[in-house]
This record gives sequence, structure tokens and C-alpha cells, in this order.
Amino acid sequence: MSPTATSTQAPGRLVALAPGTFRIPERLGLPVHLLGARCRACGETFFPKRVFCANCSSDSLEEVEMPERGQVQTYTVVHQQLPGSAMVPPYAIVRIALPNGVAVQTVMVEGDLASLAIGDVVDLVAGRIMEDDAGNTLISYLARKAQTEKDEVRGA
Amino acid sequence: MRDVVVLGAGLHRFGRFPEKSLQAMGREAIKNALDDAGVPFKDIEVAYVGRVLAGMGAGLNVVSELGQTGIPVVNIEMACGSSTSAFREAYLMVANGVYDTALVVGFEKMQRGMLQIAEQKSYGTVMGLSVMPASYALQAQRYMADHGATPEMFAQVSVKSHRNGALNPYAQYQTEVTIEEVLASRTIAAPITLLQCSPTTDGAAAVVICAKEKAGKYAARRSMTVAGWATGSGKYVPKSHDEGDAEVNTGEVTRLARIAYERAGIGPEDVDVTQVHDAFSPGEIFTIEGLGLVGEGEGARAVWEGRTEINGDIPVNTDGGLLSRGHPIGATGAAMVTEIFRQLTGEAGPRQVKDGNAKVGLIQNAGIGGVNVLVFKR
Repeated sequence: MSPTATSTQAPGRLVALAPGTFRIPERLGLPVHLLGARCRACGETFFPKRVFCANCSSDSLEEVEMPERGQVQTYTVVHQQLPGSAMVPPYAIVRIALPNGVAVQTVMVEGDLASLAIGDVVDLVAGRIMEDDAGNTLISYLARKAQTEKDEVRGA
Repeated sequence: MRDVVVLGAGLHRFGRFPEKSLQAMGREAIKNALDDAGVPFKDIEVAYVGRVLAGMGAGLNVVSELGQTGIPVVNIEMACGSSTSAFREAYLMVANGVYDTALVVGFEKMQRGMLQIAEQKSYGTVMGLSVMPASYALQAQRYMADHGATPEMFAQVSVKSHRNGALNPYAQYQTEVTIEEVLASRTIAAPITLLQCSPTTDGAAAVVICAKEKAGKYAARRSMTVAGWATGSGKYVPKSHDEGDAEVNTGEVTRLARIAYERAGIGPEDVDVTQVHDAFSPGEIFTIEGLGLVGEGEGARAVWEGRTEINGDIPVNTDGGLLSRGHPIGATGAAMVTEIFRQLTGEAGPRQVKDGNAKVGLIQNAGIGGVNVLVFKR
């Protein structure tokens, strides 16, 4: 089963599974803007952040927010359990092309995997991955199909 | 740089040998290669060893089985491309006159189950993203959408490789499979099914190389010359120059193949037989395009039409490839060199291409960390 973007249980404190990749939202299911880096020297943009620019090797990079909405460039549905993973098959991995040229790879939230298609418009939203030993809810950015008109407006 | 020739090659059968030590497997492959080359171990001046999962000093532990002659033993790691990296380093040392005669070895013993490419608690593992077949599957899905390829065309790669593996006494799998069996095996990452994944494997391979000007004393019955090489890691493509979605396929193979062809003074149309990195079935399709053996988007159809079969015009992975010969990651590259040697010397038996008249062989071996392309001439 794919992860859920919302939880029926009252979650513990929300903590990013990969710290610093986005600002922690108030609750699960809200859109997240990933935090990347833009090179001041050549203008290239990266996610995840880099200390040195992959293009020109400058170390002068500034934090920038990524767009929350993108398009599915490609996808696959995984049916094999990866040892140590919180994801239980079947789940979909998607590569998302963001409008700023950055490509992000992540997992789709629970939903209809059969209808997933290249070109789908998706939002990056905060989803629960697992609990840690201290009772915190570890979250990350997941892809969710843009569904409602409200989504369209919010993405504009 | 001087010309360098391959004088001999040898394998330990690929498969599962839980009762057998790395030393025993490596010893057998090295002995086979030395005998094949007619070169005594005491003449070997340096050994380059491709290995990944074995512990510290594994290269010496294996090579010293043949004798303790005091030679340097260099351990090289580039994941699944380790022993073509070892081959390249050995080649460059001999070509540049540092050594005359060198041994290249690759070996591995692997656990069953999916290869763990990331640390247990890493982000990629917890998120279920570090799934090796998924990276091929992502490309395959896009390829199907862009070029009208079908899952059957990917499955056909595995049918062909098993057919070739059945002709190879050193292959892990020596039985043919039908396309129905390939498609009906369980899905790993759509469209890739289990029979489209290379197995985990135990195995060893060794190659003896020598400066051409020094090779006469070995009265080698035959040899092949290292004609071209290229190696590199991923090169950043600035987004301003990106053609967008067209970048789904890897560009490294194309970039490196051009360099290797130029060094060898040939073009893709001159290649008679090819070994590519088919860790998963789409690998053959993407790579024959990357190498320029077929046009962009034509790879799946080329496989489907039988062009990459042993009797096709662009035979690929004649020994069964990673899918059927097996993929003991550190040994795979040296096994590729071994098969090209058999093909170019006309000793490939039932797998022989072009009636024994193959003159140019090509290898593409990829690993986490880069890609190696090698060109050989008879």
C-alpha cells in the first residue's frame, strides 16, 4: 500500500525524514515547497541543495523554493519490497518535471495506481512515512494528483 | 602509446557456489586465463582486480593463490563496472610502458535477493526509491510512450539472452524461456518482470594482456588488440541547454562511445559483435541506441526483429549477457572481455557470430560511478 498524505491518527510532532528538504507544514496533506539551491554565478537550480554548483563549481549558492506543482515525466509501479523501506508494494515511483526545469523523484500517495499516466499534473504534498522511536511522525514530500479546482487555483 | 593485446581469458562458471571460496573461484579463472594465454604467472608484473562486496585486501587474497611473486595487486571498485575499470587501468599501464604483461581479474560472491544499492537507513531506502530495477523501469515506461514500444519487446531481450545462455557452459542459466514465461513471471517494477532482471551470481573472470611488441615470446595462437576506450561519469547538462523530456535516456553512453570510436578509428557500422550492460532487459535496448548501433527509438524494434541475435546483423550479448550468463558484479566486465575474445578469435563455438569472421568487438559496461566503453580488433 502506498503512503497516506493524511492520517486518521493524531500525529506526533512532524519531522522531516530528510531534514532541510522543505519547511514543515502545519499538518499532513498540505502542499510543500521543496528547498533547493540556485547558483549565483551561473543561475542553475538544484534539488536537493548542493554546496558546490554541479555546472560551474561555484560555492556561492542561495536557497530557493521549488514550485509545488509539476508533471509526471515517467513512472513505475514497484511490486517488490525493498528491505528496510517503509513503502509496502505496490507503490508508484514518479519522476516529476517541475516548471523551473528541476526533476524530482518521489512516491505517489495512496490512490489509483492504474490511472497514473505520463503528463499527469501532480502536487508535492506532505505525507507520513513512519514514526520514529521518540513518537515523532517522520514526513516527506509525496506526489498527489492535482484533483480539484481549488488545487488549480492554489497552484496558479 | 604502444599497442596492447589480449592473449588469453578464462572464467570460473557463473552461478551459485555457496560451498566454494572466492580464492578457489578466482584461482580457477586466473589459471584458465594464464593457460589460455600461454603466459606463466611469474611473468605477470601487476594485477588489477575488480571487486565490490568482498572485504579488505580481497584482490591480494585471490591473486596470491597463484604464487607470491611480490607484484602489486590493485583493487578497483566501480560497482557493476569494476572489472572493465580494472581492465582499462591495466591497459593504460601497459600501453604507456610501465609494465609489459598484466593480469586483470574480476570476482564476486553475492547474497540472494535484490541488490541493496543504498545504506539501510538512507532516505532512498526508507522511501523505497533506491530500487535498481525501478531506475530502468522509469526509463522503459517513458520509452514505450515516446517510441510505441511494448512490454513484449523488453521481454524479448530476455528470451534472446536465455537462448544464448543455453549455448554457454559458463552461464548461470542454460535453459531457454518463452516470451509467455517472461511476461508471466512476477512484476518487479512495471514493465520489468522477474525474468527480465539479472540474477545475483557467484563467479570469476580473468584476462591476460601484454604489450604487442613483447607478445611474440608467448607464441600465442591468437590475440585481439585493444583498439579504443572511453570512460567517464555523469556530466551535468545545464537546464538552459536541456531539451526537456528528451533527456530521459542516458547520454553518457553516446558521449563515451563517440570517444572510443574515434580512438579506434571506426564507426558503429564497423562493429561485428557487442556486449552491453543488460542488468535489466531495457538495458540492451537503450544501450544499442546509445552506442549508435541503431537509431534513436529503434532499439526495441531491432530486438523484436531479431537483429541482436547471434545470427543477426548486430549480435549482442552472445554469451547470455548479465540476464543469463549472470551478474557477479565485480566479475561482469572481465567476462564481457572474455566473450569478445572468444568471438574475435573464432573460438565461440555454437555462439560464434559472422562465421568466425568478426573483426571488431565492442563493450559497454556500466556501474554506479560511470560507464566504460572498450573497442577491440582482431
